[in-house]
Amino acid sequence: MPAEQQVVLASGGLQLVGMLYRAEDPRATFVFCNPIFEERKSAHRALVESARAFASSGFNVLTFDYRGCGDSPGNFRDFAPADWLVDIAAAIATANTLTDASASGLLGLRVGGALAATAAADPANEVSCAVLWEPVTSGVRYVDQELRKKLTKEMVTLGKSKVSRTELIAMLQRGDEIDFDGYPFSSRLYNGLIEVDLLEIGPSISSPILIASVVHQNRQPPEAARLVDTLPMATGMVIVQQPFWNLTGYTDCSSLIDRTIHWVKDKYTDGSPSGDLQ
Amino acid sequence: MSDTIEDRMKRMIVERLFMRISPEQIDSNKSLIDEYSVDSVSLLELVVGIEEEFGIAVGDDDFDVAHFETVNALVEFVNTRL
Repeated sequence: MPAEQQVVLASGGLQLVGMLYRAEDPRATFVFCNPIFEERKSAHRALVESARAFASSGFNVLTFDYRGCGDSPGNFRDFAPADWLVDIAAAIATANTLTDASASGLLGLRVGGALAATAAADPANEVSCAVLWEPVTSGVRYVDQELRKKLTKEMVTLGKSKVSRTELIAMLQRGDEIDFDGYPFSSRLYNGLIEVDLLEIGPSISSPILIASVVHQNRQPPEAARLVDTLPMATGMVIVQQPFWNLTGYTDCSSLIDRTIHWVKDKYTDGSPSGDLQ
Repeated sequence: MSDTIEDRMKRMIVERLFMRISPEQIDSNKSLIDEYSVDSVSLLELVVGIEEEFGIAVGDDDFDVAHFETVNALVEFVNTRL
């Protein structure tokens, strides 16, 4: 098994907690960007398995928790995507310092995918390659889906949902906080999330990018297809699999991991764009 | 013979929830939650599935467990919206 080392990285005056998975003769180092809310917990095992598989395939991986999330210090209610982008930049810098690999890639899931794409669009981060697993392409739509999750949970618990999405959004817009699965969903987080629009930032990402759709049918969803069309060096991939970031039990993610690593290896072998992996 | 709403509903449920049974094995009268382990996350998947399969909008007022208890309840709900 590749060497694994707990690391601490400084960002925003906080000491964030991470884990470095070292490869032998690494070709590049990847920083993993987590989802948020319960999706982060549900995806944890899959992301650890992925990090180990990447390391075994010749890629260092740095995983870490954003400020206010997981093992890192800070209160979730105080932070927003802009803060987590600073954390990602700090993680890239830390990864470069701790490893000998010259290239940095990003892998992000859901909101982490949106953050990874945004970080990749910033030339200062010098991201050589990005992998987006079922990325949030529209923050407005994501928030709408998350609020629907809240209504569904209320329905199961209470028989009927008690508030509407319109009422919840009105609360967030006037600066109130709402409870979301035990997470304080702040007005600031809401305002940061609804700004996410990958179709808008897509054209400014010049590095190779893999967009993996994890779906119930072997067909690329329209919004993923639009994103692939928008990004200059994007490849689309479809994986028929349960949405592991929504589930509490174990989900076999080997197909997603193996096909992702296959694509990544291709990028760092000759640098040429690969064909569509659908 | 064309598929009934009930057939389409069962197929959608099995496909979206990755159930390891055939659509025909779902008893339309049995509780999806108690009998088929459908949880809140799965229910939201069904909401999206109903919207896509039948081209109807599920409003916030429709988040009532009575509509989602069984396949028969779902079929009745869809029929009222078509």
